Amino acid sequence: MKKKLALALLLLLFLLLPFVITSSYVIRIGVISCIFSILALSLGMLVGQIKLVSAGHAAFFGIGAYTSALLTTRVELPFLGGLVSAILLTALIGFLFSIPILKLKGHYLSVGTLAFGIVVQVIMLNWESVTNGPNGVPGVPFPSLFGAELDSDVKMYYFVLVLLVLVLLGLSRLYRSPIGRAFNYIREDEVAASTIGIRVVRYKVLGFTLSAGLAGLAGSLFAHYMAFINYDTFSPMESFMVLAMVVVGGMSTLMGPVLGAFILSTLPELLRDLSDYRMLLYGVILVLILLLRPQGILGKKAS
Amino acid sequence: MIVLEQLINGLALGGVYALIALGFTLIFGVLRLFHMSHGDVFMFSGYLVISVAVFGFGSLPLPIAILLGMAIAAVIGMGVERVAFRPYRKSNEIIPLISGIGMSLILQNLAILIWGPGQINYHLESGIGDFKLGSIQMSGVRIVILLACVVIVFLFNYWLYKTRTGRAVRATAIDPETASMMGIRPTMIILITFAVGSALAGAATVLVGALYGAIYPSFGFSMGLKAFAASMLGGLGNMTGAVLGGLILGVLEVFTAGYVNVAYQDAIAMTILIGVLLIRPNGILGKSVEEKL
Repeated sequence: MKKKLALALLLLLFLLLPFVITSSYVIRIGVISCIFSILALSLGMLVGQIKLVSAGHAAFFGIGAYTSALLTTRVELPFLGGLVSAILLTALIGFLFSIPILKLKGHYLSVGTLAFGIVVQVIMLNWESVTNGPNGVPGVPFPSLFGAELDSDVKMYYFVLVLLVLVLLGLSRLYRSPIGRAFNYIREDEVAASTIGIRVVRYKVLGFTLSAGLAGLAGSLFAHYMAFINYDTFSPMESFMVLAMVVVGGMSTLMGPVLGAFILSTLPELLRDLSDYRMLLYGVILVLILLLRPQGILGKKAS
Repeated sequence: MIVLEQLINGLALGGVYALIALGFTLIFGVLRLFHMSHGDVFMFSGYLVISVAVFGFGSLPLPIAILLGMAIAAVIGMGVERVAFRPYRKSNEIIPLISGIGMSLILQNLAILIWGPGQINYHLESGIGDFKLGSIQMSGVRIVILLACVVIVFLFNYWLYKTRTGRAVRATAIDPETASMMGIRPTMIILITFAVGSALAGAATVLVGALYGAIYPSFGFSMGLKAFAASMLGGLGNMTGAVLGGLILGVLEVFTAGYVNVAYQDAIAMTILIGVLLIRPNGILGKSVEEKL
């Protein structure tokens, strides 16, 4: 009960934020943090719930971003069409990719996903007729919902915040459902899970598909908010940063990835005044957080 | 005959990949962890060697430069182990992974601070010019690189299989608990593993310097990924596999760049990696280390 109250208060705080702080810079960081929270949550489902360490998640984020950006700029599909297509296409690619890749286990799975991430980035860079190569896709329109343009940082902030809350509610239900429990059995002991009748591969494929779709949602939001995307954002390093968000926050908790995403998205901005030393300190802080709380900030100590 | 020239070019590049992959796979073999900042140790030692060799002395003979690179890299590698990996010896495998990425960020940005974000061009003398063998144009630098790689791999093998320390390292890789019961101190062994693994990268950084004559801060990350792919291709934790994987990757890249399209150089290597993983999930020579059942 205490936890619910705390979460409700936190949500209220976030809802009131634009009234207290009017700086569009702060709101911008808020929007980015919410988008990365959704991305981190999608990876958290794989890493924290099923113990599938994917090191190529930026690929799904990127596929979502490109799908939405290209459909709305080239075909002039409305925003919602782009968003839904982005989710469906990334989910489909996640599904198709998961069937062969899930034969791999542990470290080998991470490598397979990493390689996938690199291949996707190279395609983004080189398939010029579609992705416009290194120049990326400019002029991605603001999201518009039923005639209302989300053309300001504050409007966008509320939109992504609502989506984030919806994703959180959905995931919290999912994790408590039989599917979520099956995920956790698989995480704890795959062999034991299969002996009690859990179809391990099916659940893994399901998890991968859902996770990819969710990353596609984050990608679409990112493209429409930034108005410009190119291959550079969807690098292997980005995949690792998302993984870092999940781990820093606490990987098997629901809110962990969100906290991790907020910390690691805000930190570079807080350090901005230190210009040259910024990313160096970022690395130091990342190492320090792990040193002080290896289980993640919200994670429970392993017994 | 161009094919043969390309093959030599590929083997020289592959030899360098092999050295980095060998260190990577040695560390994986002993600790069962991906050393994500291995490429950055490679890059950082490269900068230090250039600073000492090119900007300090004007030039250094290649063998001395290689030894210098190995020594510098060994020290950096041990430092990285102490800071980023030792605290997590008993924890979940994903935490050292992230900690390694933190370390990678630190080294990369330290390099940017010290040497600037741009590319630095320099020249390392290999001592041999190009020469002709029949109708084949041989590149002297590449032959020297290839030979150096062979010698280093040979010495490494001797160390690992014939010396006491090498045996202790292998014993720890196979069964850390029994090894420690036999009086082998794991902390010491891990430190040695990092020193030797990094020294191989330190040799590679000098050789790749002789090959390209240029370095930039994110060079390590991309070379690290290549070495990672190479060691996977051969089979994780398998030393012969790492060398084989490095050579295959180098040759594939040069041929892709030469006969298909330079742009797809990286992608084809990675695609083939995925293919190999799907057909032989443990790499060409690998045995499964994940499942003991």
